[in-house]
Amino acid sequence: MDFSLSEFQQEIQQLAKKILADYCTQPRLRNAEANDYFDAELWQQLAEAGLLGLALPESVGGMAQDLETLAVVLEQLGAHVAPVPGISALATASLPLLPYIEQPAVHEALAALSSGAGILTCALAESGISGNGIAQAVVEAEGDHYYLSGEKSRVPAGLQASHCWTVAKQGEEQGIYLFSCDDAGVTRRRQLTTSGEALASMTLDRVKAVKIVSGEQVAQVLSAAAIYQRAASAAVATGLCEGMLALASEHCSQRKQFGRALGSFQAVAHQLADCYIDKECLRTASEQVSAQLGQNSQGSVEGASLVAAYWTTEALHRVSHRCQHVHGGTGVDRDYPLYRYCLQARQIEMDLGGQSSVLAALGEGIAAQRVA
Amino acid sequence: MNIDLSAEQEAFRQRVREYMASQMMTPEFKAELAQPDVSHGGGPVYWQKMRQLGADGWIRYSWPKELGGEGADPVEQYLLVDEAKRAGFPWPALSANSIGPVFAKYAQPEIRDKVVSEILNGEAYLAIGYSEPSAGSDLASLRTRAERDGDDWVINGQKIWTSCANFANYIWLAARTDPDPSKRHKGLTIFLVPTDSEGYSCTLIHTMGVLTTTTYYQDVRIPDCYRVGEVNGGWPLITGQLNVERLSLVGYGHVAKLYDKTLGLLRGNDDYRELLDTPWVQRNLAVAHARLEALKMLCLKSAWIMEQGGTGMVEASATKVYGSELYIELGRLMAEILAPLANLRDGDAVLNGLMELWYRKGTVHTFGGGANELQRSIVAAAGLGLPRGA
Repeated sequence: MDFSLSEFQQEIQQLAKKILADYCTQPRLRNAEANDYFDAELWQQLAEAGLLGLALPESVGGMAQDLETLAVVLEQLGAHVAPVPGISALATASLPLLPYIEQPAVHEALAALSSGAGILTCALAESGISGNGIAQAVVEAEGDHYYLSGEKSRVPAGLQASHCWTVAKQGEEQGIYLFSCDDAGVTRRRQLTTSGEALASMTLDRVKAVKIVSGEQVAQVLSAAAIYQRAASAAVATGLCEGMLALASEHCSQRKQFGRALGSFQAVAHQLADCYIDKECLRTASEQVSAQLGQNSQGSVEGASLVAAYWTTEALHRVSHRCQHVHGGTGVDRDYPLYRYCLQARQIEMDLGGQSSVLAALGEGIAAQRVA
Repeated sequence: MNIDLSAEQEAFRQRVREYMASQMMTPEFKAELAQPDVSHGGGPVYWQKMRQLGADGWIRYSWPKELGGEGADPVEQYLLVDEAKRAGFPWPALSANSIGPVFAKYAQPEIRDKVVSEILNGEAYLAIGYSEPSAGSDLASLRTRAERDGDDWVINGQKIWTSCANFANYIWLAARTDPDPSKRHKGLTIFLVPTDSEGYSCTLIHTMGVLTTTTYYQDVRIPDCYRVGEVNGGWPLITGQLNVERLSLVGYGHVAKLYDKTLGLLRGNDDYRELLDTPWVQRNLAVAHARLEALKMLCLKSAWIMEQGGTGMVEASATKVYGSELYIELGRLMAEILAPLANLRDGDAVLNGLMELWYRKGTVHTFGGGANELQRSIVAAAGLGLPRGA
């Protein structure tokens, strides 16, 4: 048992902190808010530092580190409310494709992500609330080529992405297909979200694509995407909670009412103590799923990822509300940094499907004995 | 990072688990513990098991090397106490692990070796006499007095919630030795009071779930060699060992027991199969599982921090708050699944009445071992740097 970061992980942490502190200043974040909450310069800096390829193999220019090390960087993205698509590009969209890296198209997309030349994303949703595994988009095969047509919705970093994979069906058979977002058949429209981050809806009209897998393996890729999304969300959420709690602790130490610092009132201090406990529970859940994905640990990865998703939704909701509450009006003022954390918190919480659906999946896993 | 126990730690846990199952929790002992008046210990089988525990070296193993033990580290200590409690064995955590080592360090030579050997051999229990009718969380305001008379001390006062005093051999007593009330915690001294002293008496308090006692001290006269530590130097002895103790109060295995047993019942019995397939039952199980996983990791991490030489103060306080509240919540989540059956005490009781007893016993966890309000204040001040309150 050893809960400390390795020397290398500490170096990575310091590197990420340094870059993010330079780029996540209030003026730059304000500017990012007016631009889909995406900072292209910061993204390039992260690429040059090697952080975008941290968990990718060396063959695509990566550092071949495990999820635990990636989580160190993701936590810092959260702690700085960085305007970059960390969860989707570095985890949900990229890591499920690692088993297929021998395919030239996958290799190319991951190499582009790693170098910063492009951004890889995945389009898992269609219209309405439809999500994984029920794609209506269709594929036509002509010789060795595939052409995709259909409507996709809520694609993360969809306006900036260079590569995207999605689910579509050829006849009755579902498959995972990878395409270039610059294809003439792709029409993208902005979908602005609560945090200011833009997603995109995509109309695909005979978009040239490469088939990655089809048939039964589709479910495996989608399940891996869900697990990586939960794990990465927990790491980012840990950073968000650290950030919110640091602001609230500072505020309650400085601000005086009735002649005393706010934090000296037990009714205030105890709410923040509860935030601390929620945050620590989230951190352990994040560490647990990262360790299991890194195969440094026994146990069910599905179960650990759902536990991490439970704590992500729980801590984000409870910590963000209470940190806002103890700030009073200051907490909602757009000239004070807290609101950005709270909006990202809400974004991540609902992106995971919300806590009730997470508990339903976990409970079903327990009943079916897939989770101990 | 490595979140799993080492192979040695895992083997140690298995060894404790097997020992508890085969040597300690015999049908005869279980039957004795089912009787309310000896459910915490003190019956004839209890003392027989305690002596065996001592003879087999387990208590000695859990003590630091410099105090005559074999030097279990905080992780092993946590595993030992947690496994024992999970098995239902009333491990003497307060006596042997919280108080014992402090006594061994600060006691006077005239009595130290005798009492230490009694503790390590499982022959003596030390009950804690801190709380008074008018001093609960605010221990510094306690009133029981000890006055010097030649080579002796004469003690007068009353203690309450002195758990296990009904079978203890000694009371680890905090008394006021400086009558100036403004001295507060600087006027307290620790004494070891033999329960066969003249003027000492004990009456039982039957609570909703657990048995405890009131103890009375009327001109109890003890020689100065029963004083532990400096005169008016009792406070550090009271607060010294609290972090490990807090952890042992809400150990994962001990709290998870109700979930494990309930899930085992649902999975293993066709009568309950339908419940397991019911969405709201699955939701209750999922909440319990997710929250217990966090407790498991918080406990191990706190023990690991102490093993690395940290105080673990903030971690232990946070874990105590979380674990004690989870204990209560779990009692509800699991009882809901079997609802009316969860109220049956004997005969038809499910899980031998564990579910019913859980509720009656559970309430004490949020205020015992340092009220959760005090723990939250520790987390806020030491963990978040907030200014201390009035």
